[in-house]
Amino acid sequence: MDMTVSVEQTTARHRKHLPGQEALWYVIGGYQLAFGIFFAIYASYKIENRSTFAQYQDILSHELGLVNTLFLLTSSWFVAAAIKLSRINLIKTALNFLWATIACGLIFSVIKFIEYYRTIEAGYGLFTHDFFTFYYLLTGLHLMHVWVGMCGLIIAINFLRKNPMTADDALTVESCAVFWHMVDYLWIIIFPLFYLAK
Amino acid sequence: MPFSFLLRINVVWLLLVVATILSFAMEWLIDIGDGSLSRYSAIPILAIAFIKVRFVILDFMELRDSPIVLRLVNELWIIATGAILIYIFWGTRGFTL
Repeated sequence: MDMTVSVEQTTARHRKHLPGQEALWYVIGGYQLAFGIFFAIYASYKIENRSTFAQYQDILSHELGLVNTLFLLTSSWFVAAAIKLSRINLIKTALNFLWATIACGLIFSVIKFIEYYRTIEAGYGLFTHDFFTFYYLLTGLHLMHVWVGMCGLIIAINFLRKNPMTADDALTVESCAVFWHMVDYLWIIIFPLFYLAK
Repeated sequence: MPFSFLLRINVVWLLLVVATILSFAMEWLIDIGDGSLSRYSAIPILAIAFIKVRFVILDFMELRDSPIVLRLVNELWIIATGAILIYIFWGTRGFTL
């Protein structure tokens, strides 16, 4: 009996697992392509006007950007841990971790709004300079995906509450997690591009 | 250890936080001067960002154990996007017309 379990576990460990639904990966691929192009276009504009862009980059609060990055990184940890915990049936802790992720998403949004408010208040609007056009559009687009990700997490929470979950339910939960991680890593690139790299 | 299966993602989280603070400190320290060195800090800052992205994709998204094609496509995206951005930042001309 023990051996059977161990053989099953070993096989499971070696079987390659596709996280989430297959279709989602095509969507992720689309996002990767689109954001990759946006980043390259922004970098191209920036490089032709390096000193002006650098000067405007300093208008933004680097500290708020840092705090937001740390919140998103931590939120991604919560999601990753929640998925692993749900697999060993620690559903309650997994659910708490998903709520913690949503809280991180909310804090991220509030900080982003504070940042937008401060920047606009200081007189730097959408059309002040190319830098700000890129900044508002790209970070705004990203923020909307944070919200989409948060809606996804609520869906994941509802599926996790079902007891027992079917294999399909588990895939849906994983898909929501995968989307959240994508939102996280897009920000990991946006943060240095708009705040740090000059 | 009861939660040893979380060890890897815990370590990854710590690495990501340290790398983030390192990038932030690097920019802050270099910016103290006249700013002329700033453009050189952009390269390591971007490189660190893409290494971070790779960790998120492999360990948080769990692509380390995914079918090889999916992992390969994602790794290629990381390398291509990172290389293009670093190339642009390295030089003085972008891809604008």
